[in-house]
Amino acid sequence: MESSPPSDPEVTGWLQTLGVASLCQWDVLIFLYRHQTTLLGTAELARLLGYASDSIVVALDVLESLALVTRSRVSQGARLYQFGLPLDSPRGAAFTQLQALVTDRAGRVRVAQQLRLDRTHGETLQAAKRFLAEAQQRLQVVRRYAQQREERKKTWRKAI
Amino acid sequence: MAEGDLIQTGIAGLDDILRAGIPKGNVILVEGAAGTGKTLLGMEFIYHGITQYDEPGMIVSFEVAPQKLIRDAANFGWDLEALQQQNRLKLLFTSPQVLSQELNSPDSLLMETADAMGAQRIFIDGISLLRTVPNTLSNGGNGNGSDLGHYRQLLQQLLAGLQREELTAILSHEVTAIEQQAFALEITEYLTDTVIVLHREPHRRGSRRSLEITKSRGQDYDTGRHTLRITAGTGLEVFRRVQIPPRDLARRQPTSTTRQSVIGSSPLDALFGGGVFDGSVTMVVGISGSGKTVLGTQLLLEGVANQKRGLMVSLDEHPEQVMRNAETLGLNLREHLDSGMIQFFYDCPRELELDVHFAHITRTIEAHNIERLIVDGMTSYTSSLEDTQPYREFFHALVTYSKDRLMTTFLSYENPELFGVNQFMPEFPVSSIRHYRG
Repeated sequence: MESSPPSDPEVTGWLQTLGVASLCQWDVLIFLYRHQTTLLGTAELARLLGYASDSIVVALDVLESLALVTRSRVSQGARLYQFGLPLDSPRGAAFTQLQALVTDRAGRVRVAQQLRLDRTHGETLQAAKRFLAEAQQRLQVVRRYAQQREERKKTWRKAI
Repeated sequence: MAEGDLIQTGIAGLDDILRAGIPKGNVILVEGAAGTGKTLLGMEFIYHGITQYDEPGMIVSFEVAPQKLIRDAANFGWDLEALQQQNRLKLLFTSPQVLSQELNSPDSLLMETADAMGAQRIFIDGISLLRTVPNTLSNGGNGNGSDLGHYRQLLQQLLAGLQREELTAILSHEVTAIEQQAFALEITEYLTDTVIVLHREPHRRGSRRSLEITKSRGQDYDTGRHTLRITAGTGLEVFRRVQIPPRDLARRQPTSTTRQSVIGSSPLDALFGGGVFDGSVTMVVGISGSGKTVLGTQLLLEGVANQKRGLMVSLDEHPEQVMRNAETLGLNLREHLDSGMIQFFYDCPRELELDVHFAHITRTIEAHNIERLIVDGMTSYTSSLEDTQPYREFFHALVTYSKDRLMTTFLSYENPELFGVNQFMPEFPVSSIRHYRG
């Protein structure tokens, strides 16, 4: 006998157990699950998934912080990404239910309806942190460059 | 070449036509059009490597989601998921661009992963996609000749990397009518060590698969197109083409002077000059209803009486029908079929594949140590095959095989025009022709 489709509260519950809040996070997660071990750069992931590169970067940050995905070091702009959730855990069980649900179009639509299309607060925070970190890195580079330039100037002045 | 220097594919029939395997370190190219079985061959090579030869492996895919590979493999009873969990298999999805970058990288993540799991085999599905990697040193790839130079360079880097890492690799390459792709394929054929070509061609209203080894450095192999089958639950199976000459050409065909009674009837034996020789092949010719099948049945029963196991091959009648007809004449075939002294092999003539048919016959003969063989009858082969050449090749091979094993063989042939012209009248060395009148 065919089992009845899960209710909306059940779907919401699974997503909450998993910690996934945006459609981009879900799409990245299910992609990495289906592709087992993925060796790609974020730009290629973005191209394959149809999202902007920065959205993918933020989604990966969140998924990694939730221990749903593992990432290797960077090699030539690419990383090894792996689905990292043990399926025999309560979160794994929630993922299995959701994964079974999205094997058809109707299920995919139901999951998508439960998720935000725009960035979640967590993602916005992650993006802001990342932006801040990158800005600080760039600032350091600029400061270092300015300092070197100043030192070169001093050397020239002495020589003149 | 010593067996230790060879690597077995584990694919049924393939190692046999490769004379026990492929020299270690050879890079193998598998080429073919869509649907010929390239991915399956690569996947099976990796799967058997792990499960039969304890050689961990990696499957690198650019286009097919590994989850689909897992699903497809499950149809053949191969649990790729479990092998991944045991860290003996890694399914890796990447892009041609990243792969080419990785090949240039001294601290490649790909090779690091291969090292970590002790991979010895690798399958890269769709190597032709390396052609799409833009040439950053020239014009970014505009489809001209320099792109092919760039592709050749990438491929050389890949092969060097595989050699450095001591990985035995299978690369799959699609065959299309696109000119640039054809050039790329030609380059790949030059650079790789072993080339396996897969074909899928229309046959009447159906289609047939075949496999051909066109090159393999450092070894001899069986040439020509061999039948390839994909069987649900099993995987690929290669059937050696029947007309291949024996490998040991210096070996002499055995001959016997021992005579056996045909059916235990002295007058008939007298017609043969005192019975049939072991290793003789007799063609029984007659019109329909003249008793060819009955003679064959009696020949088998006479063999059983002398502890000789028999096999009846038929494209016409099912075993039940032959047994029923025999019973009406008081011949108890069923008892001996049940005891295993007589085997019956029926094959449907409608889509007969000769290499497969021949393999089934020889396997039955070898498995049951058959000494008497009846083929009832040759006429059905003529109507099934439409072409004289494969018909002749098949019967040449069957007669040679039967003589090699010193079997007593009877071939029945329904021909109302025995001495008239018949386009399928075979030309091969049978020991005698007996003509039966109804």
